[in-house]
Amino acid sequence: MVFDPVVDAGAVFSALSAGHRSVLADSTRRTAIWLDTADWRLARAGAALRQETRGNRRELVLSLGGEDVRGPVGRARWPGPVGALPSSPVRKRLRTLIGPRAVLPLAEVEIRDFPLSLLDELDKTRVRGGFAQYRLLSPRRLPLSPRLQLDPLRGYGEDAGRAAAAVSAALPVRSDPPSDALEALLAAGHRVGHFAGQGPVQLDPQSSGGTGLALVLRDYLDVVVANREAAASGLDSESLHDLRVAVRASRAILKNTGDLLPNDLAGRFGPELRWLAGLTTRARDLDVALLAVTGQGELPIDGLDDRGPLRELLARRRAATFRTMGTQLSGERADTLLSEWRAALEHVVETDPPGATVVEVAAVRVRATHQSLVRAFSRTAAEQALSVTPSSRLHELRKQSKALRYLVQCTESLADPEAYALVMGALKRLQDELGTIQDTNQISADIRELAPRLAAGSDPAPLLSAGALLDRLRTQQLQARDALAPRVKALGSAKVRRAVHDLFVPGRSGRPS
Amino acid sequence: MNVVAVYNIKGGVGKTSTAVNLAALSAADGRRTLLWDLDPQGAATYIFRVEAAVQRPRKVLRGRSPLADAIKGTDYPGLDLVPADLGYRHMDLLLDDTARPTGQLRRLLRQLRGEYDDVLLDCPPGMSLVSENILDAADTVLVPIIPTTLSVRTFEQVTSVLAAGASRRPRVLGFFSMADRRKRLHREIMESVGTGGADARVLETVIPTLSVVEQMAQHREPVVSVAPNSVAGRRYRALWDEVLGRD
Repeated sequence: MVFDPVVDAGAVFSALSAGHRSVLADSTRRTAIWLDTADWRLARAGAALRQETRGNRRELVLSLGGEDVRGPVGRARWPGPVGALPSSPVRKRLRTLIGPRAVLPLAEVEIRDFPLSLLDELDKTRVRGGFAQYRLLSPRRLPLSPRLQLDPLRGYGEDAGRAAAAVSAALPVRSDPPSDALEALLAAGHRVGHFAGQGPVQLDPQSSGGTGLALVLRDYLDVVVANREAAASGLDSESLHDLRVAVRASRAILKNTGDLLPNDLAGRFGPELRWLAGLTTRARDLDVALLAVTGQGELPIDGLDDRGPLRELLARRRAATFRTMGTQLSGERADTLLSEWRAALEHVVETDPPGATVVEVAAVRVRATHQSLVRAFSRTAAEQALSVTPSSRLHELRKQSKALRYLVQCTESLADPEAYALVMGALKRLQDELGTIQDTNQISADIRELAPRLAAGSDPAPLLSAGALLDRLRTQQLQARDALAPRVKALGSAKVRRAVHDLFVPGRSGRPS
Repeated sequence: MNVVAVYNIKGGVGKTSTAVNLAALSAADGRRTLLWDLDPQGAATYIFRVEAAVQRPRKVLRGRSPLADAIKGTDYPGLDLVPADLGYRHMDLLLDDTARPTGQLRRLLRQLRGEYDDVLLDCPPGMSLVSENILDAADTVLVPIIPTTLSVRTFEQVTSVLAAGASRRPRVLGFFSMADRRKRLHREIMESVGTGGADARVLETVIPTLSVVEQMAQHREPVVSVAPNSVAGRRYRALWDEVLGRD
């Protein structure tokens, strides 16, 4: 039974005493930290995870399918990876549910438990139970709903029923209350199960371009905020990736359409977003390199058994880079940027600046950006074959193609689904090849930089292994380069041009007639 | 499911004290335990502060009401009780009235297989259809023996009845109960009785006469829960360990 926060143990005890001899034992205190990933993998799986602390004892409790599974915490800290937990059924289940994502602390709650017993005239216990008083401690302080649990001993179910009825008659009981986990997370300000970037922002075609842009940028900002802690901790590669994509997309869209925002917001925040993007570049490069060397990327590593020393060097370099990045990402400048950026965007949404509608703006800007991109590729291909174009030039083209992709992506809710799928498909295939070229270049550069240190060792095997890796990276790159021309051709094809034109044609589903 | 019947033809030998304390120990060890108070006197039921049931055994014995519905939880986690029923005073007649009078208790207990690890039966004294059912249902028959000539004789009688019985033979374990080493007769009896054979033997553990055991009914709590480190508590623990073969 769940009550309004004003109800206390004394009131419940009085209500129970009406029908039974009630005995209240000394209260005990515990705290619970509710945990989940940045993308709510546990909540979406119908699970809830908490770390419970009583005195010096810490325990992890995973609630799933109506059952609680308990396990040790060991030396794990939050945010942290599941791998840091001691081996246990909890760790095993978590690995299945959340994969490589880091576990984040989302809300801390203090719980004061009042164990109670209801006795009969023979002083026989008929019902055991407890009254628990909850208080949110972090990220803010708030009283939460207290809860009463009544568990009849076998054969005494009627007694529990009578006791519950007596309490219901005397005190305000909440109907259809949330679970204690959900209540704590909601009170902490979380939108449980909904993570930023989960789906396209739903835009009203009739809203102004400025408002639509502000909504899109705010959604990206939510992604940055949701993933900031995990990314800064260095424990969650996916969080870092999601954060970077959100910042990059924000910058690209701002560059293309920032004129729609009032008060020169683009001019004010553009440089700061560039700073934010710059914080994470090196960390992400090393993450990708390490993933590749450890076989978690797409680079085949079969037969390369002496990658250990290279992996160690990369890991150390990564750790140092992440420490620096983490400090800055968690620091005051980032705090200020994120809070001021949010305030500015909220203001735009609230004031709804006049101007062309978002669908009109989207149609014009997407077509122009597509045209510009196709021309840029044509010029490049005219100078030399794309397969041998310098990487730096391809990198610039990659950035331009990403800008188009983000523009199309953020207006998905306004777009014709068929045309959207066609355009995005062409862009994705192109970017896959450009991404491979960029990544293989960067990983190769990192390996080459570390080669002298590998050569300094007495065992030549690691250096030879690194050389073999470079060879495989080169092979991957050549394959991607060979695949470029057809991808570029497809992007500029009549079919895709028509799809770009038809993306926001009025009268199609999702857009006004 | 391990069924231990605490049984003797004679009354007043410490059956209820034994059943109550061993049941409490079993539950404290983390084993799911049921104590069935088959004695219409309801002493075990009284100790656990459960209301004795009234006139219900007919439906249970005839299989029209599940035994599980009669079970009550005690104040001790893991320990449940089938309380005594005044109707048990007619249990012989009720059992005789069923299609298969012998083996009825065993069939009833089978309903609870999987729910409990240990079932202890606090048995009424006497030799009747009820005791036949008890001896048929039990895996172990634990016989408290006051160290007197007549009491030792009843242990031999129980052993003989079981030896002469049909295929199913439980293990028979006797132990000296309410023993007073100050009495020469008690000492001589305990020294003279051998350990017995494979199917029937006298355990090493002796439960002495202790006021704390006698006061159990007054306090309405098992000795092993209230005073686990007392002489009584330690002896019952040793007894239970010996019964389970953990000594």
